[in-house]
Amino acid sequence: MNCREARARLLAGEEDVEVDQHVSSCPRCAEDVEQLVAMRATLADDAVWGEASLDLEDQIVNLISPAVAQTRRRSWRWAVAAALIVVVAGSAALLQSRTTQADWQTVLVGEGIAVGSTVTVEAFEHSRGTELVLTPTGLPAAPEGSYYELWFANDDSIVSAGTFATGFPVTLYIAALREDYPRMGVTIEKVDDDPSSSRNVVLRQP
Amino acid sequence: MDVERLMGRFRDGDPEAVRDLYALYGRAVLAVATRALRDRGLAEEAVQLTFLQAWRAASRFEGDRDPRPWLYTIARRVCVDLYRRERRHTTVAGEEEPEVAVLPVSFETLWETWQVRVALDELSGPEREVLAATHYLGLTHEEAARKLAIPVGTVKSRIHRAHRKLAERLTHVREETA
Repeated sequence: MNCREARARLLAGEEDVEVDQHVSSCPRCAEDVEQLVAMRATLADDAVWGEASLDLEDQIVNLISPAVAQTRRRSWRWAVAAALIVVVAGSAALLQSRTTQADWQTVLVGEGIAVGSTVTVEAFEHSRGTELVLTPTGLPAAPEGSYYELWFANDDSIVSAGTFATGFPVTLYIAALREDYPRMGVTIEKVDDDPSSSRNVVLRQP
Repeated sequence: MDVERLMGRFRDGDPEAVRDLYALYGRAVLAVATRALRDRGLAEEAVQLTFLQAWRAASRFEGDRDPRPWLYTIARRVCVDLYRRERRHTTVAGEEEPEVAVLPVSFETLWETWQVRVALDELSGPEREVLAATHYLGLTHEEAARKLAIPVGTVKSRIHRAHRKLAERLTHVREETA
């Protein structure tokens, strides 16, 4: 038996006399036994096999790539079709997945570059935090090199609930409790390494 | 896929490169985040933040480097930050908050999780399928054959081939972490 065969069998959990004999005579494989057994345990862990939500990829692209919206605007026909698809798909998804009412909801009203737009925030409380479903109406994509950030605030501090870049529906998660941070607002942020708020509020609670 | 070219496009801000990078390593990031945080919602938040931070740091990424250790490092840091944030919010009033919250899993465990998931993604679909059936679902070869509607002999040969490939890829893990 060679090393490749022995290691494959150790990973498979097919340890027998033949494998034992090889390992006892091969210092390198003997050194790797513990590692391969640990790998076998990792292979059985559900974390390794988990699949992401279907919309996670789109959420990431919407979050980090305002350029997507810029590119899409180059073709108005494509943009109209895409918007219709998103609206129809989004509505269908919401109708299918949301059979329960939001625990609370609020509407943020636009100002500055977002004047005339609104964002409806529906909150679904879970044991470890709150899922926030944001549905914008009339909100333009963030200008190139910037993105929107949702904040929860009280008199002393603010905490970020996440970022988004387009006017499409998006889901964010936050662990902060609403009773601790009763006010909400959306700022426009530049794409840089500074995680603090720009304080440039473009949507707020009326 | 030409990873060097992909990272060049990612660095240049090509939105399609985000999707390509996610297709390659999104599952590995999710696996690490799930193992570290043990919460589906938090893990998906970690995936979002990992790609966001990678995007922000992409201009400093050297195109000829292997992006995997770089992305893994970002993912682990994001998990630590989220874990600390969760700890802050779950600390009982009056209880002293620890200055440093350490993830409940070791560095080695997370690195192994990353390597295993990356190695699984390099296998063919049918090979991954039989490994999922036996390792994850705990099925015997016969049960896996029935579930996948293929002969037992095919299950055995696929499993053997998949384990050989995995073992070859994963033995590098020891060398890299040594």
